[in-house]
Amino acid sequence: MGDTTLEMISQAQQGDAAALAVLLREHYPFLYKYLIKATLDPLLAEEIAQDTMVRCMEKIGTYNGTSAFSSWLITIGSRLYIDRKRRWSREAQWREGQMQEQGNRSLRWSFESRNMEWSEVLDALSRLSSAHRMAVLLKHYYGYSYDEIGEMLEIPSGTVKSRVAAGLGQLRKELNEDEV
Amino acid sequence: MRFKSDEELLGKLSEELDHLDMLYADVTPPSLPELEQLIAGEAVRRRKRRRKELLLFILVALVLVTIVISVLSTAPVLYWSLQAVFILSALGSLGAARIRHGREES
Repeated sequence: MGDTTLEMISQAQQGDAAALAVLLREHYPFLYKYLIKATLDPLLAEEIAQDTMVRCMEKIGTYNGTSAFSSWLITIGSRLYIDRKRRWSREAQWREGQMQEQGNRSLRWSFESRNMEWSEVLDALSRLSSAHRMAVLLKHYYGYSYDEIGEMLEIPSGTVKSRVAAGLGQLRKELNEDEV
Repeated sequence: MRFKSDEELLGKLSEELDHLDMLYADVTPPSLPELEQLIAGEAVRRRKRRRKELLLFILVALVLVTIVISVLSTAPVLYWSLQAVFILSALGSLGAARIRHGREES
């Protein structure tokens, strides 16, 4: 983390709204892109990114610098996404499925409108449960350790390990089945 | 699409996620004035919420104190009996939990 970022964090913690605004603006693309990959739904990613920023405004005083500011933001974003999924599953299972399908269609359309191919790998990734997808993403794309992911998602690192293994197993199985 | 190893699968996955990132490379973050406005609005909302919570806390405390004082003044025997029942049941459940814990350990 650069000195300027640290300086801005310190100012934001002392109540400087302008410093906090700069900090959030700088980190927004990183957060949004993470959420796009975690949710595979652009609209939902945008909503959660906004909620994350609001939560960050509330909690900036509790940030202690033990992890990068960007990691702290995606921790908040991940927890908000998990909370939302829990709420959805309480409300209605079918609604969750519908929303996910809509999100996937929207992403697929974005790919196709730019003449890019929506790959089988992303399709298989979208069929993973959000818990498995986040674990695979944080471990193998963002390079966090099992312990770090455990802290981020508030689960034991053993659970993270089994989610990553199960997620990869399911990806491999689906992709191999697609070929048959 | 068949992958011989996890490394191959993970390589392809990273490549596809990079494509996804590229698709949103030009994402425009909210402007600074918008963010500052949001921060100011949130600060006001939090202040209001805190005031509301404090008010609720004071109201509930007042109701409880009123109930306690009125019971104490009108029926002191009932009041002290209830106090004794609460303390005894708390001690009883604590003891039961300890015994259960001891049994589980042995």
